[in-house]
Amino acid sequence: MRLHWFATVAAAEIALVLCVLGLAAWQFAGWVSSAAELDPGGSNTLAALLPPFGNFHLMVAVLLATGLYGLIQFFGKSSLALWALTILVILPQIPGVWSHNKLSWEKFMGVEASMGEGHPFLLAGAIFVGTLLGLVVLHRVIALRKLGGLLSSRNVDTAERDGTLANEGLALAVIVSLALVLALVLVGAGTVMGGSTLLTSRVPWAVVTVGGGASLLLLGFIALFLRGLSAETTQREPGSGG
Amino acid sequence: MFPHSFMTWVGLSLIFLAVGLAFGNLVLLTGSVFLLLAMLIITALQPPSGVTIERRTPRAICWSGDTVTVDRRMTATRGMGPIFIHDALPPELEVEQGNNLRIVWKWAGTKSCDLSYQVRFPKRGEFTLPASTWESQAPLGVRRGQSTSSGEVISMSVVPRIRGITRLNEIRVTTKQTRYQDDLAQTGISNSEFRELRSYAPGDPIKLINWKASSRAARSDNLPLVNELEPEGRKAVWIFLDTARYMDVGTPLDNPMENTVEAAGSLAQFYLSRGSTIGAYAYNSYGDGGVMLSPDAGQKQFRRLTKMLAGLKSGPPRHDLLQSVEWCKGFLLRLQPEVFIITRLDVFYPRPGEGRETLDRFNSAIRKLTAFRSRSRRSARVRVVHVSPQESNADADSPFKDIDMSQWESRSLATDLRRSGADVIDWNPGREDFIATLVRHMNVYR
Repeated sequence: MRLHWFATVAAAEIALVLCVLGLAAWQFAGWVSSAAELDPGGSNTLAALLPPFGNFHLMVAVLLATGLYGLIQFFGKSSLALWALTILVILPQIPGVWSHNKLSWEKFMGVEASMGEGHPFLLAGAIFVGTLLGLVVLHRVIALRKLGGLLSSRNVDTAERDGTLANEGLALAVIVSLALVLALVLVGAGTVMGGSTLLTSRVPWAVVTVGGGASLLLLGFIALFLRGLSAETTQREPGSGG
Repeated sequence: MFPHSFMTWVGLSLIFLAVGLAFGNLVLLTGSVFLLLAMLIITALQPPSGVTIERRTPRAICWSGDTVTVDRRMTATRGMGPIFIHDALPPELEVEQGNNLRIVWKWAGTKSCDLSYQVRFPKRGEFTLPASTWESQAPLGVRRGQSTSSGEVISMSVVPRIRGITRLNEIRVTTKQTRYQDDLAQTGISNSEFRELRSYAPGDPIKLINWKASSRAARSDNLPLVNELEPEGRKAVWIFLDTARYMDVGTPLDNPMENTVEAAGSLAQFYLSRGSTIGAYAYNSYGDGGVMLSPDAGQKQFRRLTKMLAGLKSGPPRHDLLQSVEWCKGFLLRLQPEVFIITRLDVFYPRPGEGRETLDRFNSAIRKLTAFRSRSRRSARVRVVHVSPQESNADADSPFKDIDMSQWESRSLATDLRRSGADVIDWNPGREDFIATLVRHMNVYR
């Protein structure tokens, strides 16, 4: 039996929300356990300030956050719900991600502090990128839900509406996969550079390679953005044909 | 250019990049690289452009109630993403098959497709289908593409569908035998046979003035004399159509205005099929106030009449029948036609606090028309067709549902008009069609 498009999109949305919250909880739990190991029973770590909790509590927190997201969505504030969720999934990941800093600025000021190691680099990176991927896809799924509703309200042919939504989904999958693969290639290249014995070990080559690549991507984006802006201005000028 | 949400993602990736570089954090940098790559690919995708829409209909004129196929062919040459194509239709039109709003997804390469739909024209009139509008978006709805119109503007003339007059033709067989002489027109398409000399009347062609006879005869009115020729045609009929706003009440497809058009069409079809000359004047129309159809006979005249009827729109009641009779006096004097006035009588009924001026002027017009007819030494009847407004079903449970005030008012006025010399045909479109009413009326007055 073919599911109604709305049910499909709504189910995908809930699944994505649960996934990104689960990933954030996983990252957070990894950091808490490593921080606790760093100072067992002590009160000098950030983790020690938190009330004791287990997996059950995290699960409840994830469900509560999902409920909150659904509640905000219910009141038609889908944009607010998305950005609140973004903050909610990025904030708990900060300590775990922070522990992978290569430059410790606090040491220049004579401060010795440790955040705990959290998950290993690959896992922490995968969780973080996975969360971002989930958020990007969720953002588009919300837009697709709105688009589907709009098309239905305008009595667009069902097959055309479903076709458009399916093609949008396919385009999203292709774009996200391509971005993910290219990002992995760049990070892989950076890691290889970082592990190279031919280069001086005083420079964090992995950071330089990935950071340099990201800067180049930013420049490329700005160039495309400006080109698009100029093309749009030309279109808007009176007398220019469509 | 880009929606705020997109720019928020770009901002987030910039924060990750800045913090990642500052602290040498490869996790944050990886996140930033992923987001920047995704945004870069999305930005690089161009929305569909180079869209052309060819549009046509198989005909430019149709009957009311007809369904016409609008053929659309869309071609897009560049870009990728959805293209929304919309034909804004006048509110009276109904899409029967297909859809006037279509979405076409375009991947790379040229895309062409047929997007035909069928539209029903339930109401007479001149309709314009504006050019198709299209709007494109890049995939993921980030970059909005162009939004413009394409294709030709289509004009469609919808003429009223005239009901069959078979039942009226059955009546004709008997009347033709008994009143054939009466059917002869006073004028019409003139032949060369001279009948008599008479005074010039407004509306007479200049070429008919007999200059020699005029110069010889010294007349007190100083009017020239014209040659009266034997007419070729038979009876002449003149139809006055009241198209004031008070006729346009009820549903858009079924109201006294539409009924008036239907009645005029049926009358014209009947009389033209008998070889009669038909002229018409619609007063209180939208725009100039009056639409005139010069008298003529034949199928060509029927086409002219249907075109005129198709374009009629109700207007403010600025003019009345008396003024209209004055404007058409030239034709009326020359043709001395059988006159039909199609209107709503109940609107002339004097309400409490109102004067009888409107009603008196209507009565004067009837008397004037009757006087024109008296000259022809024929039955001096003028026929007023009262189109009853549709009964409202809103008060179906009301104990007074059987009391229709407008009917009572129109009946009261009909008595007055009959005294002025008019026949009143009371037509209730909700109960029977016009032909049935006319057949009944003719049987009574035969």
